[in-house]
Amino acid sequence: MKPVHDTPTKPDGTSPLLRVRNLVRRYSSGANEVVALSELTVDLERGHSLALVGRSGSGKSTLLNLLAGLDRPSSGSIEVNGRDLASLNRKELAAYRASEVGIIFQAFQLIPHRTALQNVELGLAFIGNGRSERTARAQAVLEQVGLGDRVQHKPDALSGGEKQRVAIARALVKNPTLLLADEPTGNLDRESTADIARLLAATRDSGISLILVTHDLDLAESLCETILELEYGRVVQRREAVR
Amino acid sequence: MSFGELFRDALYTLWRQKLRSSLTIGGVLVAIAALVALLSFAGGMSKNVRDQVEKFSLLQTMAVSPATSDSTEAPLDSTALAWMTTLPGVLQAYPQAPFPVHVVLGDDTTTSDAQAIPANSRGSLLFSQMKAGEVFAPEDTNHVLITTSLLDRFKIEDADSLIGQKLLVYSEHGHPDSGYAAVRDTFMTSLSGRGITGIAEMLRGGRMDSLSAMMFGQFVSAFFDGYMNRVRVVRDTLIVSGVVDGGEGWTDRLRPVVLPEVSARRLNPGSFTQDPMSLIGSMQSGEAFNPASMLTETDTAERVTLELDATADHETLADTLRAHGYAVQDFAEFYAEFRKMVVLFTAGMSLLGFIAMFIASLGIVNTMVMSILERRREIGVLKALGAEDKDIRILFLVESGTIGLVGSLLGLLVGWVGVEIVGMVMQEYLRRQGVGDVELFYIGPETILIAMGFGVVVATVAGLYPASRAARLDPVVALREE
Repeated sequence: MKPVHDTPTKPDGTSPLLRVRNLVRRYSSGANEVVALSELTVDLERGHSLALVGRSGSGKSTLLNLLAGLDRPSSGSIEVNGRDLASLNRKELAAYRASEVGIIFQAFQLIPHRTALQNVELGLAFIGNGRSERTARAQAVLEQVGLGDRVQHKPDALSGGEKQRVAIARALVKNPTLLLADEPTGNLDRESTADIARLLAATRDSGISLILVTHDLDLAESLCETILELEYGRVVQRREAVR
Repeated sequence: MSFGELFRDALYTLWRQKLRSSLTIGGVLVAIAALVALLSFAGGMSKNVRDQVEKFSLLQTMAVSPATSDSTEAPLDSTALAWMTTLPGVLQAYPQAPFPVHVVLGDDTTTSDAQAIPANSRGSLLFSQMKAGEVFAPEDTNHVLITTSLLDRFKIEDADSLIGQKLLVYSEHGHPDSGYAAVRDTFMTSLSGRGITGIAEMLRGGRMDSLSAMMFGQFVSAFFDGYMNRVRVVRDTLIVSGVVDGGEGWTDRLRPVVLPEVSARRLNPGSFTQDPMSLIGSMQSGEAFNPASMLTETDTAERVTLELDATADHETLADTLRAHGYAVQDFAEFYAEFRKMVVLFTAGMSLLGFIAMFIASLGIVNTMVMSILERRREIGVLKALGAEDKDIRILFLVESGTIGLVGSLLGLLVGWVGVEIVGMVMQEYLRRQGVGDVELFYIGPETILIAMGFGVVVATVAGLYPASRAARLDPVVALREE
């Protein structure tokens, strides 16, 4: 079991996949200022997994948005693969989202008028692959997640678990180095939750680094090596998962 | 994503929002159909003139006539014609001295104009549009050439059927001699019977004023009576050698009956016609009482057509002729002015189309803004998946451009069908009014390009604001929305 590091460099000289230093995210709301994240420091090694737990409003999703390159920090740095996301321009940040990070949302965020296959293809749409290559890869990933026979179905015709599997396939189709999952089982029943947990575990085992935001401590324990508890934008507890 | 995929997606999005898309596309359709109708009308007008100009090689000709009504100041006589042919760029000069004739074909008779043509004009541009037969040879003095406008008068459709047919052409000539003879007869009548008694009474009564007024009135009345009614008729039976395309409009340089010079002199021996105005004018000038001057009338052309070579300097030539007292109708000059007018007319029509398209573009903006509001989450997802701002902008610009494209295609189709129907109705109306076939509307490639380009460009520009708004959307906010 490998720990989450606070140190920038490991003793063997290799740098971690993710290195977050003194991360602050403030929001202005009229005259008021809300601090969503405060002086947060986190590291994640390649191929490792980290769960972010905490109450609603603790800053978990804010951190995930920052790690996904969807938002920019007020101060501090987020280094992924040695590049500071804060220093990237909009175009470079878009390229980072397109190729290096996969995101899974609680509400699936599938495009309703597109089929499962077309939704998964969208995961490759901004990388520059040709149409036929995109289709072939999307088809293969959908088969991996057990939806080989549902490729032409639109989201309305899929169950919650199936929708989330499509969303996972869309996040994985680009072979990301980092997978961010925001409450992936939040909208699912027990059985579907178990399916998704198995799928994420397999993903983690394939060497993709995983950051999981969840309220489900059992899921966090089963999927992640390290659990970070946030409260008011700060890390209040860091512990190894007990399996 | 490739442009093809974006276009396909855009079409699909329009299909999903059928009602809204149809209404928006309907606005573009109406604007483009109106633009097509307006432009095709300008196109039809331009094409008609261009066809006439090309058909009759008008840009290689120039019409010359006396600048004032007094043709003696700058007469178009044989000396003037010879001088004109020496001017740089002038290949030939053909006089046109028309005179009225009656033409009899079978049982039908019509009144028309005739003219002579000089022998050297046989292979000229005047006869570039032969419909049947050929131009008579100089030695064929009993032949005649007619234009299609004369065929129309006889309601003959097959021009070939007339070749070799005999045509009776005759002209009527009032002559001052007829008037003088009538005056003499009146005078002789006055000297006989009760007439001489009446005169004697007037003389006895010392009423000389009354006598002279009465006699003058009688003599003038007798002169006109003799002039108008004691006409001389000259007849000639001629063989139709050819039919040349020509009407009786501004572009026509030939009169309906074209004669060899010999026949023309026979039919128009230099007398006045039966036109009373012509007679009165000649009486005022004294010409009517000077028989010698009548010959000058026949030898002076009313108009001369100059045939020019391709390198002729029209402006210099026209200036030279004007300086010598001639009026010049340069078709190249006219055509250049006409083309300017067409450009202005087309610009005006385009402006009307632009106004219609501007109104339609407001509908596009509204549709696109609505679409963006409904698809904020989709935009957020695309950004989360790596779409750049420009990708989102292009996505929505392609959508608005597609509205323009579909609307323009349909507008083009509706406009085309509309002008075809209106054109057919108008054509029928004009035919009934005796106007020949006129292409009122013409949809050329430029009309299609302008309409399509206009529709697509304006629609795309209308999408700029909504697309920019979509591109600026914060993905975190967009994804948070229910």
